[in-house]
Amino acid sequence: MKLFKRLSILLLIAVLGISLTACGGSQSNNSNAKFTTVYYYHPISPGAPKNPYNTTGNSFTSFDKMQLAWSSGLATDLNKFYPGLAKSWSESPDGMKATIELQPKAKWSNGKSVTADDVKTSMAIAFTQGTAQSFSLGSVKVLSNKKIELSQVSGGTYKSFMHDALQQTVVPSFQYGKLLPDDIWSVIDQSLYAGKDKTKAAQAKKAQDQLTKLGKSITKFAPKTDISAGPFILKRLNPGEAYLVKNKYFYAANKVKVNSVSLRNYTGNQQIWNYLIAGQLDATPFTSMPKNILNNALNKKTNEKVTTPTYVAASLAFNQKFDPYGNVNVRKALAYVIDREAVQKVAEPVVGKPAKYTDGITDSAAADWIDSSVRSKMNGYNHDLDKAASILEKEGFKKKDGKWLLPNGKPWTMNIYVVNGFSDWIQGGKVISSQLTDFGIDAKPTIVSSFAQYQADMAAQKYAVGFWLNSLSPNLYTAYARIYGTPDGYNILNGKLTYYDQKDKTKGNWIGLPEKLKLSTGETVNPGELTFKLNQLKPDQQKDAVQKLALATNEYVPMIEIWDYTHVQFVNTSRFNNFPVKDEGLMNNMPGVWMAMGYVAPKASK
Amino acid sequence: MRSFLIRLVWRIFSGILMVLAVASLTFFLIRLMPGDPVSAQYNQLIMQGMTPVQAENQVKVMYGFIPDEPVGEQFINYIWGLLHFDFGQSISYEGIGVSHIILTAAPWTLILVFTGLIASFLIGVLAGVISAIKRSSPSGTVLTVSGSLLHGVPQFVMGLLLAYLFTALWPILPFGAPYDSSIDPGFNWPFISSLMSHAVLPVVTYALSSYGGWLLTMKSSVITVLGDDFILASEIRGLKSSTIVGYIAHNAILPLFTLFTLSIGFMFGGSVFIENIFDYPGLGNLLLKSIDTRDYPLMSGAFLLITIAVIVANIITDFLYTFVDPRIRR
Amino acid sequence: MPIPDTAQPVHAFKPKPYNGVSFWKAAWKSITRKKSRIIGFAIIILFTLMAIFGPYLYSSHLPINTNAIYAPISWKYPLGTDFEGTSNLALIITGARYVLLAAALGALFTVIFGTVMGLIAGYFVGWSDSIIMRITDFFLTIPSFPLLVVLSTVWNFGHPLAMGFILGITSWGGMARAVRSQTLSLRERGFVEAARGLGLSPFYILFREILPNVSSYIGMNLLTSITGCIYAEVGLFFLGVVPFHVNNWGVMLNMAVFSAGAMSSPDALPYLLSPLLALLLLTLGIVLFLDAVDEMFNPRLKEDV
Repeated sequence: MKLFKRLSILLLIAVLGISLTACGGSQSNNSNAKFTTVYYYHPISPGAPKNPYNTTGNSFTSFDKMQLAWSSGLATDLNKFYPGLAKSWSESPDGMKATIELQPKAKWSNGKSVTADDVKTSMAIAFTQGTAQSFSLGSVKVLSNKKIELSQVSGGTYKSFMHDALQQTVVPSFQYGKLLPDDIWSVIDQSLYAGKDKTKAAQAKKAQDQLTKLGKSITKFAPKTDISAGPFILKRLNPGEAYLVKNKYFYAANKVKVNSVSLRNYTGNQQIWNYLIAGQLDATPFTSMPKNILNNALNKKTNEKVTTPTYVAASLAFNQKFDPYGNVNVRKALAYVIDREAVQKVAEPVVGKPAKYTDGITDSAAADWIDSSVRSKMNGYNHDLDKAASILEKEGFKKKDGKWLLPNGKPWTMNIYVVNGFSDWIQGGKVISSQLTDFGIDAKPTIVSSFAQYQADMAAQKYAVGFWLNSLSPNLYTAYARIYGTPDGYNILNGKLTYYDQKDKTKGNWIGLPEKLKLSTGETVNPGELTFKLNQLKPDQQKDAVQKLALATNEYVPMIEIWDYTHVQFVNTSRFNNFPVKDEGLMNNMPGVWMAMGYVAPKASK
Repeated sequence: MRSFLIRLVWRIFSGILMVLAVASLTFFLIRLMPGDPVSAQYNQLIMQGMTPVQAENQVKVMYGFIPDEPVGEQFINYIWGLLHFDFGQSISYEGIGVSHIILTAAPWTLILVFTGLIASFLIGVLAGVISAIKRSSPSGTVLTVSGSLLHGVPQFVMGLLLAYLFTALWPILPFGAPYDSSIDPGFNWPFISSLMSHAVLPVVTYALSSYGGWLLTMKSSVITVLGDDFILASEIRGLKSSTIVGYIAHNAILPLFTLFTLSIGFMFGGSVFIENIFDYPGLGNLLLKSIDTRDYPLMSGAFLLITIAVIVANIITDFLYTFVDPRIRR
Repeated sequence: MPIPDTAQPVHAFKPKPYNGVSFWKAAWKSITRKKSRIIGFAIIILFTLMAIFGPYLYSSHLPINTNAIYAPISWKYPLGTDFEGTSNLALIITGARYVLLAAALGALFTVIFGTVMGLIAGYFVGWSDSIIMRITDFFLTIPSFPLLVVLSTVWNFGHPLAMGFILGITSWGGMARAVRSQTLSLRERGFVEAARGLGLSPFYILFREILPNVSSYIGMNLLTSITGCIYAEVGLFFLGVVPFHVNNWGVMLNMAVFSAGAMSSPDALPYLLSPLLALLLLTLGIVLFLDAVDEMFNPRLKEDV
């Protein structure tokens, strides 16, 4: 009896609780000038250190994590930068030195000045993280309190030296300096030795190991407070969102008109769609979405769509170890079978455009790089089933009962591998399967449960056909390395190009093109070497190599480019206005950069 | 009392054994087929726009070398670590201990599961009593059918329907975070109401999808008790009907305790779906995330903690039962 | 082989109410007793037919139509279409086979594992009993769905047989425990003791004497096992932790929620609701029919309606 009575009271409380909370939910939307967006670089996890060198650290690019400058990411103007902690910068004519002058008013959020020493410490940390080596930084010289000079390692030939150096994160020396030993720069010097002297080489190896070890302890470092030189500072966070407030010491604090920022965690596209349609996001980063979501998002009148080009393409890639994909004519025939427009219409209707040419770069990038004389030599592989059939017949394939048989008489089946959660790949894989099946090749998509698994299996040569992102960057070396880099067996080891054959399954060569490719121009090229060379050339000297690579890609079809992505973002004008929608380079950066440049102002409250 | 203590010790001992068994299971499962987190990380960095050389250097820093100890030694170290609540280092959350990550996620799961459990228990018991007493009237039948139908509906179907109804069609409830981060956490009304409004949907999903089980068991148990002699006797003695209902409820509720064991397992299992659908940051969600990134240490940690929670909850209900029902103690 | 006289009562004790025509007649009677049971039965038959013949109703790969992406409900598309313009109805019908086949196999494995374990534990008692019961407790305690999710990282059980096997492995515990307790009480009964006295092999006693007597219980649990398996496998596909390449309801749910944006846009709603509807209908059928099954195997209930 007693028990029962108590239970009924509990029940009453429970019911009351539910009804009360239902009211609470509808009221709690009266935030004043809080700017909401989604942070997509890493998950927001309470407990992760407030440390920009930690890949999941609670440090948010452009908000409380600052760089010297922000790249515009424009293919037409790779060297255009927006100032960050650096006010101005210049490069010596030979590209060996970069001189950087810091913002005179730059301060950390505890009021201390940002100095050249902070930059020097940050560069030392960059050595422990492996990033400084990647742009061949050699030494750092403090010229004055606010001026610093960076030099390439002796004999360095890296052409994007300043470009990369400007994008380094800067941390306070008073917080991170104590993590480094006093002799850090002599250790760095030793580690950079590349000569033949055996004792020095052994010393270099030891120094490198010491740096690696230091790097690990730095990524684990968990400072007690967030010290920011950016426009915002971290106030609080929970597993769903991080809450940042304005940093009054920021050098351009008078330009920042937003008082607080809420960065939402990101686990899947559908989550962003939901926020977007509900009008909760003031800025929505690039998200793949179906047409119906776009329509719904635009139903909210204050959502404004901003489109800029990207340099990413999606393609169907082949592992040439698997029969019959080692035959270049088979790959060409398949390119004729796939109707790219139909695929794009289903899979990437909003943020994609069907690819015009298979050439390793997006069509918008190609416009700047490929001359019409080279273009005229390229094949568009426009949807043409008869042509595909005649190519296959020539190669000994036979069609029986509407199904193609391999030259050895076996039926032709194909699994197209895609990744769970990558909705565009899944849908693209399904449409391509339908097209191939209609043509007479039994194809079906196979959905792998995680991207991590997918990449591991792809590198281990478990898939014959699968989706791949190529191009990826306006930087052409990065773009072609997506094909003629590790995926095709070309790796850079200690600054030298090394080739691994497909026979060694542990090295990640899953494409398996021959090393030497004969082009229709009569020339023979090594695509890996050409790609590697792009790294050593200034952009204006790259054109010849790029054209050869594009032609080789078009003629040997290691992957069929299906669609190019377009960079679609949304801004919401119901709470804020003055978004930098006209400035493509700024739109390529995160909202913190916009705000630091004086954009984004709250609307007068109603 | 002594036998009670012996029982307690035995239960705890077998609980620990079970945890160790599960730990060995996950340990060997993972060693059976290791994925390659290093190359996954490498590709992820490239996807973020790093050059391959940069990415390679960074990956080298992050993992250093991977220990090539013999499996036996690894196993002993692993179990030894577990005894100190050290679950190893997460791969996807760089440099953070797994135990730290799972302990920050655990309270969210516990909140949902226990509120859901209590809500479903109360609703189910109440509805069960009513449907047993009114079993010949249409309202009783409707109640029973609703119970068994909802009991049959899988949790994820229920979750999807509720999420669609209340966050999209009629967006009155928030989702995606456990509370609004601009509110100062603490014992204040805005925080508590924010916390509650974010938890309503998952809790209701738990309650709706599992009250049916309580209802059906309670109903049949009340019907059995109704036929018992002492009820008949008290009716003859002319006791008040509310008193009789009280007798009935007390005697009928005992068999329900055995259902708790099943229910707890079911609810912790359901956290995988419910937290995923409502994007609630508990253990179930963490388990799925760790699988997405093939973060094996985190995966086994999350799974192990879910199992430990179930085992502990089972031991507690077992002992509550001995207190509530004196017959067992004999 | 001459049968000693004492053997006679052994057979006399063996109850046979569930065998032969009389059982089916009684079953049919229990089904037709209530309208709701007939409806439930009809739904189950409908889904079974769908699973058996569904794939033959359509060509081996369903046509797509890029002009009818997320088409609304119409005569041509009674349940609307998906992201590539394929009819949702066709997807449901062709998808039923995988779902039901894997579930049936899962239930079968559950029954086989559970029964064998339960019989052995209950009959031999002693150390084999305690070992088996510890294992059973272990499997009963581990939350089975998270276990399935963890197993999915190690083993790709996309094939229906593998799926059935893994579902069986994780869910036989309850069955084993129930069969054991029945066996425990049966082994003290006269006919089993008599059979033992005759020196019949334990194998014979277990499978010829005891098994028929627990079969009613097994039959009743088969149906609940099937529903459990359906939910678990559809759930796994919904979460996308199992690689998949065939149509099935869980895949549809996954795609609808995570790719089609059905939760935030009404256009794709039919794509989400079709598999939900199929699951709800099947649940309804099974719930209604369970009532009849209860009565078939539990004669006591017959009077108490």
